[in-house]
Amino acid sequence: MKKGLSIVFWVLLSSTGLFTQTDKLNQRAGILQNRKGEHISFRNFKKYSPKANEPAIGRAKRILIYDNKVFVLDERFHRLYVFDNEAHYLFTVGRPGQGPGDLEYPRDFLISDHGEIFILNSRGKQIEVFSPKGEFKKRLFLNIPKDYMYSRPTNIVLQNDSFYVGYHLSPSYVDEYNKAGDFKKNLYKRIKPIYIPGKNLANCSHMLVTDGGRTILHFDFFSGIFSKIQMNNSSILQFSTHVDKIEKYISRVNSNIQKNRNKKHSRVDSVFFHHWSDFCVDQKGHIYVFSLLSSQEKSPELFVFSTEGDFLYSTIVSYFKGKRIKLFACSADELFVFITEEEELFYTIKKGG
Amino acid sequence: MYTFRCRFVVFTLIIAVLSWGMSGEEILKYGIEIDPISSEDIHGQKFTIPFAGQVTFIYFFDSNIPHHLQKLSELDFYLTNLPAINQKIVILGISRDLSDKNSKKLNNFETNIYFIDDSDLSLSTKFKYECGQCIKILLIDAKQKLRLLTSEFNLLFLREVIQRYAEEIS
Repeated sequence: MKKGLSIVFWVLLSSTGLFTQTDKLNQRAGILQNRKGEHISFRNFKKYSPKANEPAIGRAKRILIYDNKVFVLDERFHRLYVFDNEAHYLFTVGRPGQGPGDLEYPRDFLISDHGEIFILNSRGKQIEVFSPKGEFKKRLFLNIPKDYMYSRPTNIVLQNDSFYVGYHLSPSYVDEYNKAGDFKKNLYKRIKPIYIPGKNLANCSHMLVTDGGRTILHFDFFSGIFSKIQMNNSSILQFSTHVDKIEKYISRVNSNIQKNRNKKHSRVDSVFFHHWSDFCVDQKGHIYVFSLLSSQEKSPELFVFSTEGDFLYSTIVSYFKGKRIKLFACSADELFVFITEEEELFYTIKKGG
Repeated sequence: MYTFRCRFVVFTLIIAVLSWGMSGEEILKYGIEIDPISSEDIHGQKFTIPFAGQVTFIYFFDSNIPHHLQKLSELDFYLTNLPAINQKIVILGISRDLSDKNSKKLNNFETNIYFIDDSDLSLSTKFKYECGQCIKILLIDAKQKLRLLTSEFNLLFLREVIQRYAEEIS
């Protein structure tokens, strides 16, 4: 009997060990925190200052660098702006409206290997496809499952002729669709249930294709958890760092939502909280993300992870003292582009890291 | 056996009638053609809106909700300050409750807005306005085509779309 129990104990212990090896959540100390010489820094900051006939950014939702051009999706003005790598405005893609090629609250976009631009029209649940020069080509309809009727698509990536779509509130964080826009399968399911009617924490997240197309990296702006999803077997590696202040906010928000759950609701409410900025992945596979919980007097803190999900270090970007970085993107040739909460667009060159 | 056949025939007939009714119902969607309407405004003036040759902005609202009136005044301010656009656009403000008390609130608008009391629900039915207490906006271009159908009043968005279709009219 004792022998049997000890076997069960060792099996349980070893399986726990396996799980801790897989997930790397709440990493407190960065592996390279004390090796300051290996930390990233930035030089040659340049700010985009629009001329009279050039657009000012209203509410940037996504930023991407592709083929020496910087693409900024503006949800407020319902357009995609294209800049060169020297902060000069080039042209605009799309216009407000509901017709083919028109944009209505666009939330995300992607650029295919051929340079085609796919813009996710969140309100209309459509994808508008444009040529690399911004000419409208076609409209695709996302056939979202009927039981997601309260949900809007907010994220999109394209890999191996499949779209991977995330939503603001749905039973699944990521679903797979074929290239015609038909639903194929759930890829990454939401852990907490959705209450209909009721108050729910929205899925505030973004995703990118990483590791040469083998994985999708999903990042939750609320919890700060990265989830790396393997395309071939759907296994998921989760990793995050631990920031005391953010953990306190997370538990406070969760308990508030839990309290409100018992109240009578007449509709589906979704509340959004962003404790973290958007993220970017450089050519080495390093993952960068800013904490948004910095006070007005402080400079934003940049957290860096390895491609395997190890927390490497955090560093202060003193140039942005008093500002918060909400979006940023990095290119293969060390260009970093930032957008602050005040919708200012900054270009800079990476040094070190 | 006879009863069963009778029931079967009646059931099939009901399904056929229902499906015919449903398929005959026009669905409001981008690009459909809107037939002209005739109505009467709150001052008793009869008019016909042909839709062709003008941009028509239809605003369904509840006159008891101050927020709905505030949005209408934002639109009024925008159009008043753009006379070139103003001359090409017709605005219909339709509410289910435009009694005398509520009508007084609508006297201050400077743009030509036709306010219609739709207490008989004829226009609400035509334009599938079922909510009654929410905003619904339709924009019909000079070719009588529906170009916008939304429940969100976003003046930045509306301004650009209205301006684009108004500029198409030579």
